[in-house]
Amino acid sequence: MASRNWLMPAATGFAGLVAGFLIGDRAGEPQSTGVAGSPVVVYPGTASTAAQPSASPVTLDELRRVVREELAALPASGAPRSGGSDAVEIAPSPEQNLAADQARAVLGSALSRRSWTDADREALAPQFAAMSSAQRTDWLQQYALAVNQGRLVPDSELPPF
Amino acid sequence: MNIKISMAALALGTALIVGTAFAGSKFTGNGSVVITQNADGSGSATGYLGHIYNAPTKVEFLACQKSNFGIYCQAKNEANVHVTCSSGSAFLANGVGTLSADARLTFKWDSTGKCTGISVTHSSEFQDKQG
Repeated sequence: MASRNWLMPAATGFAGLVAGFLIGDRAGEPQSTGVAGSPVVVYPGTASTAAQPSASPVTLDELRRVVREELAALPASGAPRSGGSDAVEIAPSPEQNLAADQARAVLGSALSRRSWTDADREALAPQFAAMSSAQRTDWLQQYALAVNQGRLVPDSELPPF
Repeated sequence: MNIKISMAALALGTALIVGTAFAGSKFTGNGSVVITQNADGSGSATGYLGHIYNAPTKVEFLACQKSNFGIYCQAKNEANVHVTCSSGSAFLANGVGTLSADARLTFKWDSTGKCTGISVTHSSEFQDKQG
């Protein structure tokens, strides 16, 4: 076993030689400067593209067109296009505004009695479902403010909606 | 015979004492709902859900829920002070989603009634709900 200790270094050295020959052979081939798997951009008129025009699937003009399209698609203010809490909310519909008005009326009635009851909860339910997200948030904050200030006393541990 | 019974009782007693001694650290407060309200209307509420449930108190409760619009939290202490807040924040909704039956829950709100923070703590020191 000990007599074969030279085998591993010899095999490693041979493999290194083979790898060196292979790499050296490829050095003469055209090289890509792009990231693996990504398209290579060709700049017309440069020496490198003149030598191998067929190596690139995307031209500078195409790239310019894509950039222009992407920039045109961005909102003018630079706000995100969708998602997140900063997304632009769509204006509420007339039906949603009507529901919000009625929900405010339910809250106003409860405030006049200083009590939030099951009947109020039932009266609010359809309006709450019809309101927009922003209207719900606004209504709930009005409700919370009234409860926290002691102007409205819920009659149970149930949520108001 | 009496010696055997005495030895058995001694062994049992020792086992109980050892078991108690190594049962782990325990929360020693009463765990009741504590509500803090600031002059500007903001505030916080905190409590231990298991302790509150097991306590002989009758009024206090502490709760948070999440739904398709966001979260809604409320608390009431034994002095009948009732507070509530809501928020459409997905981050706070994630916090509510981690709530368990025996956790310590703290939520905070700002002067507009909007929830601004939630803390959920799970610990071996806390009581489980009994009964």
